[in-house]
This record gives sequence, C-alpha cells and structure tokens, in this order.
Amino acid sequence: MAVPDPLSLDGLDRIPDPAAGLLVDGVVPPTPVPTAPSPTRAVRRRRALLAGALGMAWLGAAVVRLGVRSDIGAPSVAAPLVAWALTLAAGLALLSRPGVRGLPVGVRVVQHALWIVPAIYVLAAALSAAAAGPSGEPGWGAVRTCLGVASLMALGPLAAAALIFARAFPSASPWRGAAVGALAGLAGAMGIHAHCTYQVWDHLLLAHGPVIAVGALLGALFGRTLGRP
Amino acid sequence: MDEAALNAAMDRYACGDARAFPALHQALYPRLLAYLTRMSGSSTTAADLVQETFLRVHRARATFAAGGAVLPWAYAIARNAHHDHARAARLRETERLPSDPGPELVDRGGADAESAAIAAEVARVVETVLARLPASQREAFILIRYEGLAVQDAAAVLGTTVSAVKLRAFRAYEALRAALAEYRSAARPRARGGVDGGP
Repeated sequence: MAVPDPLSLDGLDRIPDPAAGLLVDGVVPPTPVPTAPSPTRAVRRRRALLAGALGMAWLGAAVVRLGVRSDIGAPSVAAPLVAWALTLAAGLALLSRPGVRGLPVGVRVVQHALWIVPAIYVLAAALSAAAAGPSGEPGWGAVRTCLGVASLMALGPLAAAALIFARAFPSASPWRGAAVGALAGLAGAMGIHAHCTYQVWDHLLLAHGPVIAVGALLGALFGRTLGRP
Repeated sequence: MDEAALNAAMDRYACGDARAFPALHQALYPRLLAYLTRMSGSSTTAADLVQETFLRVHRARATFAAGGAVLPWAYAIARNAHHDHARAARLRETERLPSDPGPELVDRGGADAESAAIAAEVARVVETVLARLPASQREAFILIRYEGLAVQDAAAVLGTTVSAVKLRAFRAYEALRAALAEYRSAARPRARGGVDGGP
C-alpha cells in the first residue's frame, strides 16, 4: 500500500489567483532591440581561459618571485600540494559545469563544498606537519607575514574567478560566490605552502589556512554583487 | 512555442544569433509579466521589471549553459530584478500616490454579480494570506501554483533544495486552505441567514 505524501500538494489548483484581474491578455509589446554590449558564449569561453591563465600566472609569478622552498619535492611538502590541487580542480569543475537541465549545480552541493574545501586543507596540513616533524618555531611575526603574502597570492585567482563567474549565478549567488572564493583562497594557501618552509601544524593552520575563509567571505560579497545576472 | 524550441532559441541567442531574440521575447514576455505582476502586485511595475529582466538576460546570455532550460533561468533572473527593485523601493521609502489605485485584486470577468462578489472576496482572502506569509513560502507557492513550475525548477529559481521548496509551498498551501475553510464556514451562516430572513 502506498504511503501518502505528508507534503502532498494535491488540490493546489483550487486556490484562486488573486492577481488574475491584473494579468494582461496576450498583449506582447514589440520586441526591443538589445543594444547594450554582451559577450556571446564563445567570447566568454575565451575570456575565461585568459582570466584563468592570468590568475594562475599571478600565483606562479608570486611564488617564483618570493622563492620556491628547497624541499618542494619532499613527500610531506608535495603530497598536500597535489591533494589541494586536485581539490581545486574538482571544485572548479563542480561549480562551472551545469547540473540538471543545464542549471547551476544544486545549492546543497555548493554548501557542502564550503566545508569540504577547508576540511581537506586542514587534513592535508595536519598529515604534512606530522610527517615533516619539527621544523622551527615561527613567531607571530611569521604568521602575519604569511597571512599577508597568502592573501596577496590569492588575489590573482580571486580576480580571475570574478571575471569567469560574472553574472553566472542566477540563484543562491552568495553561496556560489563563497565556494568559488574558498577555492581561490585555497590557491593562495597552496602558493604560500610552496614558499614558506615552516611546517608546523599551528603555523599551517593560523598563517596559511585563513586565506580560505577570507576568500570565501570576499567571494560571497562578489557573488551577491557581480555574480548575479 | 514548446519548451524544447524555447531552449534551442536561447541556445542560439547565447551563441550570438540575434534573430533568436524576438522568438524568446514573444514566448517569455507573458510568463515573466504574470510572474512579476504576482510578485509586485502592480502590472505597471511588472512591465518595467520585465524590460529589466530581458536586459539582464541579454547581458548574461553567455552564461546560459548549452542544452539548459531557459524557463527557470529566466525566472531566477526576473526574481533578482524584482528583489533589487523591492530593495531600492524600501531604501527610497516610496509611498503610493493618491492617484495610484494599487493592486487590483478582482477578476471582473464574471457575468453574475453575486458570484463576482464572492470571487472577489475569496481572492481578497487569498491575497491577504499570501501577503502575511513569509516571503520564502509565498515565492515557492507562486512559482508552483500560478507559474506551473516543477518543484525541481522552483528550487533552482529560489536557490534552495527541492525538499525545502516543497515544504515551503506546502505550508503556504496549508495556511491558504485553513483561511479559505474559515472564510467559507463564516460565509455559510451569513448566506443562510440571508435566505431565512428573506420574504
């Protein structure tokens, strides 16, 4: 025997429409000719590729300019970088690929991405710190420096994301913007990890990680303003 | 124009084919006007908001996914236009001018005066309950009941989950059912009294 749906909307069509008298019958005004500039899909794709390349170039140039850490090839350093890069790629693919009926992916998935991205960062950082062993005791000065540098590094990917995802979030734009911002922040955290040699758990958490939260906050703001069509 | 043809037209427009726009405009205009009229309560405001929505559709056309569904996408953009307008109106603290009659709530197409009066009364009850509902419930109800969107599409428009939309629409439906039942039970004795007290 079928269980009745407790949220059944049967009989919904019996509720009358209070705005029925306001609706104009079948009168469609002449079609306006849009004159405002608007990119086509092909133009947007080219711009997105260019913006993505520039964002990554910004990050790469910052790391090269500040100096790549000498032990970058060590498993405890390279493994988290690979894990974060995979997270970044998967997250971007998830957010930019259309979901059901070509609409943006469901908001619940985006909300999950907002805790999964920092969780993967924290997990990989913890494993990395445990594998590296003692590597000096950085003070609060180092925390401030790394936080500032990581934020600067994240600016490029964040700006690129703003160009790529402009007007791309018709609904739940702050959530989607926050998820994109968190990924840009993760790129900044990867950049500073490729430069900074302090491999202590609390330094990784307090100096390298917060840029993900900063990115998410800025991304939410972007989503609310520029991300909405 | 059926939905597949509409989606194909939007697809062509996103690729830069300007000839697809008139077909899109003709097909989407009445639906968006009806939706925005219900949301704003004014057909004049709604007409302006439809123009704004089409401008936004034009600017964002490149973000429309290939093979996507244009209806929920356009509704979501229309909703954004309405929210921006409502926010700006709140900031300006606009007041209705004495010459503006405000929302007309009655379908005056009814031939019989008594049934028209009853329909007007029922419509007023529905309008009052809808106005009192939380915006989230009202929006979900309007999209599903009056715009005929599937729950999944309504969820995409509102940027929330399918279960949340269903719950919101159900709560709105329950509130309306209760109000209408109360109205009918109050109206019945009145009507009976009128009959009994007559000659």
